[in-house]
Amino acid sequence: MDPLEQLTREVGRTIGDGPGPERRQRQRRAALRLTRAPQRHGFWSRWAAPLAVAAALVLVWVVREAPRPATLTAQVGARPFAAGAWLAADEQPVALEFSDRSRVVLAPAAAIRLIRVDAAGVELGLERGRLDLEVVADEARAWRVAAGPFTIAVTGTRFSAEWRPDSQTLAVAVAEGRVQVHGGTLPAEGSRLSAQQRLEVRAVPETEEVASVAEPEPARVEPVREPVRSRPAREVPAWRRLSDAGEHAAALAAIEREGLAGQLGRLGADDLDRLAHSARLAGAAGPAREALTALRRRFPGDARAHKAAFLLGRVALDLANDPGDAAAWFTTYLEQRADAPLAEEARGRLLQIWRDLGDADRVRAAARDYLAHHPEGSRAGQARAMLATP
Amino acid sequence: MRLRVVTAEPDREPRDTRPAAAAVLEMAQAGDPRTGAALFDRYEAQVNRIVWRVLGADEAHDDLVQQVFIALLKGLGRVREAEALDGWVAVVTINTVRSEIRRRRIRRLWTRDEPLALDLAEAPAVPHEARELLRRTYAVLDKLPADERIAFGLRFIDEMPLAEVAAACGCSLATIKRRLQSAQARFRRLAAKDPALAERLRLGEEGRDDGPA
Repeated sequence: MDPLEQLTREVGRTIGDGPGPERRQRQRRAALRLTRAPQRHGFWSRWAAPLAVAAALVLVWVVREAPRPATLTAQVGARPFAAGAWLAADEQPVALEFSDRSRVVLAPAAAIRLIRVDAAGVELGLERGRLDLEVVADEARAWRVAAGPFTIAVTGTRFSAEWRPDSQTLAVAVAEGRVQVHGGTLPAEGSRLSAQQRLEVRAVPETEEVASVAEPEPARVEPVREPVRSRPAREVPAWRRLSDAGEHAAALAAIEREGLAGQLGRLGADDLDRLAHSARLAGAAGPAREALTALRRRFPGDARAHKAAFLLGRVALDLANDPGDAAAWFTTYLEQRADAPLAEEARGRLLQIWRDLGDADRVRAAARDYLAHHPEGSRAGQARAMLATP
Repeated sequence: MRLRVVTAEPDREPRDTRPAAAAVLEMAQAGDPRTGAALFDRYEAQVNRIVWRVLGADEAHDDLVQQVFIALLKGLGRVREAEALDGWVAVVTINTVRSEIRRRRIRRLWTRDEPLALDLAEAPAVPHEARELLRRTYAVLDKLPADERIAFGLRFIDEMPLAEVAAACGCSLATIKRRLQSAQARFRRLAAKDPALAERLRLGEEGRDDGPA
């Protein structure tokens, strides 16, 4: 498929068909106001306009006087934590605390992204693992937790949510209050949970799972080294069809059901490359790293094995939030071939990493290296500015 | 290989929309106060999808949908044939979107406003990489001329059949094909300046080159 076509299809799938049901309800209410029943002339026709002006003035005064909800802030320990940032717990739980005394605790190995935090509410993206949330009730604030295709809408409550990307499963257990879960295989109106209720739901319907695993696979003793596209269409595994169609999370779930570890030892270079791509797009750092590492280990002479070093850097930087590891991979990529196709991008990323980490010596070395190789590059101005800074 | 422009797509099944459309027209002609609701229920999915996909889920989305329905209710009395209603709704939606793109471009000349941010707060969870892909793609589309951006969005992001794109844009098939080719070429040129998109398109090309014939 043409790369541009692939890109636009993926954009179409990601962006979806429009806003969620709540916004559509608001739109509908607005549309209803556009047409009104015919009105009788008389008292109201004479006085409607002056009364409306008076009401508007009163409303403006009330709104000005009404207390506005304070902007929420978040912090981890004593460090401020801004929207857009990632947080992952290693072996110990990590607490994210909000200025309204709401609290989110990440269980070991869990990872989240704080998508939004402001006066109107909080939106968290649960990438993997379990969260325990204590949300202080406030009608003016909406809390949402997004996990895979699911969204949990929260009012004041105490509950836990666990997202398992491997099996595309969401588990929600409510201790106090109520939550509403939408998306995935749930009905359009969602599923409401009250105190002491628990929900476990999968993103992929059971029937689809059966269809995926029922796909016949020829028995193989040797690793598959033949290009996959040369096989008859009926033998194309389900995960690969899903991957080609841009359904990356579903593709990953399908291959994980077949046993990811075993597949990593059997797939050809083409498929490992495709699997890594799907895992990256699904936001799954672990499988992406494993596929790319397998590609480098099993096909060291393949051009894609070299490119895998660059992609490992991207995975470390964008998905695992590990700039040190990312820098090591970008350096490996450049060491293997200084004039590699993505060399400018790798040097640019090194520049950005050392700057973000505040390592002045490495920033200057990276800037000099960048300018030596790409004096007209897109970050050349930035590199010169870095060298000019004392 | 470039995106191929074809004339017929069998994947969208035609449906008989005349009874529902005729009911909306009858309500409008009778001055029924429920016309707005009926019109919204019948066409909100179509209007939302077009505006959302062409403009990229931005913060002004709901205001634009409202503008489209104001324009639809204003002009509904001029529609005589129920068969024409679906197409007319698409044309009005596209005209509203086109005016908005041009209005923003002119405003940006004076105010240097940044393009509006993506608003996916209510969308299903989208991984960071995919959000980034959306942001960068729509940043490039933001630089396309209004007509090219609309044609590109309808055809390649919404995957609308070519004939419907031409009808919605109010031009011939030949014109829309030329416009799409020009939009593709311009998109590729502008995407080449964005490292992530350039890498994405380059990796795709390399993957195709590496793959079997």
